Amino acid sequence: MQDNLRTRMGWLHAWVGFIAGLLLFCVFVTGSLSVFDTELTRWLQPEVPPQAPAFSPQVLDRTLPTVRELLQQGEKPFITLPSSRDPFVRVQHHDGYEFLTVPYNPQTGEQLQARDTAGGKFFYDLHYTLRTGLYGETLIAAAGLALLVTVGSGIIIHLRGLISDLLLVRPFAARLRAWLDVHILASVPFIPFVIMMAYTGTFIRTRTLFPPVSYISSIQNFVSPHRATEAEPPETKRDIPIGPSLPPLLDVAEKTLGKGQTGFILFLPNSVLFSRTDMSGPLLTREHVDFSPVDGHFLRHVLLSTPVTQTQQLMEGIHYARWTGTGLRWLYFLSGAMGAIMFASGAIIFLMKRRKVSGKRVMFRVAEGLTIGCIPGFLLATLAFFWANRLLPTSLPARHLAEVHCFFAAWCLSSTAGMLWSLLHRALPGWKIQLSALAFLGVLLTPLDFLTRPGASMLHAPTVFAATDICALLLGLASLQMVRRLRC
Amino acid sequence: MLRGLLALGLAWTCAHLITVGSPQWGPGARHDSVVFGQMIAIAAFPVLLLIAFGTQKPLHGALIAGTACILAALGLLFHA
Repeated sequence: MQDNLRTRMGWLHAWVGFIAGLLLFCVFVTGSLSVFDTELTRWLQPEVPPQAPAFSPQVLDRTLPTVRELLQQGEKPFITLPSSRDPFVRVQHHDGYEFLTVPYNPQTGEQLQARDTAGGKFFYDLHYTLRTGLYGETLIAAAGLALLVTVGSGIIIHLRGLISDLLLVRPFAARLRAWLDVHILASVPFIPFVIMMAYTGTFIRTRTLFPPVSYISSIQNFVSPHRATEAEPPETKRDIPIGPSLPPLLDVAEKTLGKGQTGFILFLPNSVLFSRTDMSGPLLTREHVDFSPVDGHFLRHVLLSTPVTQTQQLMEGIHYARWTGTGLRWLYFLSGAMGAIMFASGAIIFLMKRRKVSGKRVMFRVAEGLTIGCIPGFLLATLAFFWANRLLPTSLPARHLAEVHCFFAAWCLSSTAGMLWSLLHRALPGWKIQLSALAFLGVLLTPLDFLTRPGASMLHAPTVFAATDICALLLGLASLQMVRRLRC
Repeated sequence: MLRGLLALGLAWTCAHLITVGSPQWGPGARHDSVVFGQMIAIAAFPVLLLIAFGTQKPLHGALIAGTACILAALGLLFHA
């Protein structure tokens, strides 16, 4: 083969893209879902009514017993105030994986009886940690770097025929050509989005890869806190002060932050933070006004506003997309979904190109097994999470964990099945079974929603429910079409 | 494969040296200089890897990436 820039970049694009692409497929799918995390939590708690009365600040004090209980357990609870995305007051805390929420009526302060769920934030946690903490963060940050390399090499490969390739979509052409067209169509128009997300996402987690100290000191820092905790005596139940009334503090905070600009109230052992809402603009400033948790006196106002910090805040803001309206949010979702299609089609092209020469090798079978587990298998597990949310008994203890276990059980099962089919040289039935199961779960999510949602009606479908059901239906139909076109 | 690993090693070293040196760029604004260093490191990594891997002669790519590493290391020494 001729050795030129294009072939070298082709090699890099294929191998780095395939190895990182399987993980990045999962990252892009969960990222796309995380754009609508708040809305998904509403789908996952169907008992909470779609509309809510206007917010009265007095209700904040009614949430304080729950807050105090969480503080006594050593948690860092926070109250999220109603917004256009979620009209309810919620008390939340992070359980080490996701944010668990208790909704309250924003006018009466009455606690709403809603099922315990991992919620839409489950996908957010999966998006950047894979539920494995620092290890997952490091792995995903490395995958982000790999994505930048893959995109760079991809641009060099396609530079000459970028526009002409874009205009060519041949779904009924030879199989490899058709998949190449899909790959290019899903990548080229969304390259700015992919580069922006890869760069900002990797930057947000840079400390895991490129700490500002040497790696030896970094490892020592990572290990030493564990040594310290081992020596600590068991924690006794903390004494939490009764605390100040929140509505007057909200008034004071809003004199600095602006009317309606408070997003959440965070309770720490030594202060109560009234933080600016992430929806206030593209800069994720996290500006906050702090008060004493004992008598409520003003402590400080924190806003970092140097040019570098503002650039950092802008990068975080455009990655998290919490300030965007519904239209832009859908554009993020569409671009993320296209990114996932780009990785899936890239992996399929990688396998197709090597099937003739290496199809019988064990490594090829393993690669195909992994692809089955990561692409249809991951989507299957995602839909299994939604199904589990509606089918598990609402009184189940630690129900949110049961949902998560269902997700991982479905993923593990489909990955194992995919790998076995592939190792037995029966990859095609493996693809077909997974895609058929995906189609089944996707198409039937709408009937499941109607059967298990209190007060569901065909004529008055609230947006979050309708949008989720339609997306699952489209995914199911696309899977069905792929099953139909797969030849035995 | 070997060339890929060499390119990866050089690009990674350069990015690491940039972030390790960054706290000393602005003694009065450590946080800002670290953030700025990380912004540069993340952008430099793929560019250097592609250059180190993409040149016609492997030595040329290694030389360019190696020079970038030396520059990053010099930045570290000058400010220390």
